[in-house]
Amino acid sequence: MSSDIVSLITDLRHVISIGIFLLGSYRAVTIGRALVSRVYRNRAFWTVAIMIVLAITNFLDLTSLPSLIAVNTAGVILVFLPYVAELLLLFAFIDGTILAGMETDFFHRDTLKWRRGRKPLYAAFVVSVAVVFSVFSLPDANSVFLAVAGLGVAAIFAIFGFSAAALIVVSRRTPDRTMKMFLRFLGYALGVFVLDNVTTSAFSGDVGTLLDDLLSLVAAYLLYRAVMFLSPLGRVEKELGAPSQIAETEVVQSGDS
Amino acid sequence: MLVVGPPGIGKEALGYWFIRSGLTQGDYCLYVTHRPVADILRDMKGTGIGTERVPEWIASSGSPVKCDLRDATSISFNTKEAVKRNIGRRVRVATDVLSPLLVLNPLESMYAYWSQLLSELKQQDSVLFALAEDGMHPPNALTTMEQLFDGVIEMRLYEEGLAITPLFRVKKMLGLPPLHGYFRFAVSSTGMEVTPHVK
Repeated sequence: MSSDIVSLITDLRHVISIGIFLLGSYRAVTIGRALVSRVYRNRAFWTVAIMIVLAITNFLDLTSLPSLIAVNTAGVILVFLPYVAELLLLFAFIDGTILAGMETDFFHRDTLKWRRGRKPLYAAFVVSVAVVFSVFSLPDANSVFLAVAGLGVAAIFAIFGFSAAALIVVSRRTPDRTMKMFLRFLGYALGVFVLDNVTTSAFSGDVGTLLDDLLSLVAAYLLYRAVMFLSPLGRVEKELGAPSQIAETEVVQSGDS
Repeated sequence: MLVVGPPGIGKEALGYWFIRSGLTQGDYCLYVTHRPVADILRDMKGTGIGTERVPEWIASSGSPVKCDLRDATSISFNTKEAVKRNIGRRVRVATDVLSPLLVLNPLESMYAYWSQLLSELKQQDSVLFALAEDGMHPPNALTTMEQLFDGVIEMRLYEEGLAITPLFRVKKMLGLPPLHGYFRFAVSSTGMEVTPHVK
């Protein structure tokens, strides 16, 4: 396949992904504003943050901005910042979601020992991200540094893989159907994200690129589907007229009966 | 009263206001919950409700009497005992254990369980305010349980085009004619604001 066509497909993937993430963030913010509970509002707004960061990183991948900015070490660091933010925010979001999912388990079970292990996981994740991006921002990284960065990348995706498993297990323990589907789709999205990064490195050339495009789109779609399960949505049935029993706005105050 | 809705919609906030209103009027207030007291107090503060006055608790932790979802009989017994100790007072009981108990036990036994509990509470001047998660149960389960209650309110997010609006509707209310239509609501630190929803 011509490299121009592959490049076009990749650009198209980025455009579609940006559209999916922006639509998903709009849905999440409208749902979040309508919810009352702090836990569920936070989950919705975190989803917005993740979607926006993913849209930004896809935009950067689509444009030539990174190459224009990365002319020196400071420029390289600036280019890497959104990707660092993406990974850190994503892990924080996953952590919060797993904790929220465990709260909906009536017996408050510690899924895959997540509560006990999250601090060491956080530490390992942050260190791995710092190592990887530090090495990649070096103008001349030697083979030792690159090997360490490789280990860092492996650690990042191992932690994400474990997180995906935790999301799916906690989804099985929550009785709430909406939360169950949200957790499950989020787990699938994260799993596909990990699969994407693990498998595409095994394939080179156009095959690897096309596989990456396909899996990235699947992950984006699964994340969007998760957003749709932030809260069940109904449709207003057609009524004969507006309610007449409340003629004006009523405010139920704390001291009223 | 039964309030049905998805998680996060504001059912718990409505329950907190119900209890807070009772405390202000000197009623005996009891909160029966499968969650720890600390979680409930944190939620109440998050909703803007002061916690200087608190109800009596039957909770999973933080209360003298424990709520164990695996022992529904003790939950009913402890609730009735607490209410009986306050004969002559107006009683308000709020609870979020209906859904978990309905998930963990057969529908027929839960119907009998809540029917018996409600009939005992009705012997006193008392109101039971129960919350139910509509995402946790088959539709027939909630429809069956709704028959036991004098009033049923359904809260939900509704989609109209690109907009998402929180609305509630009164499915039934003892002593009132059928209320058609939906009502917008917004929960703030001062209370709940309700307006008719016109499509």
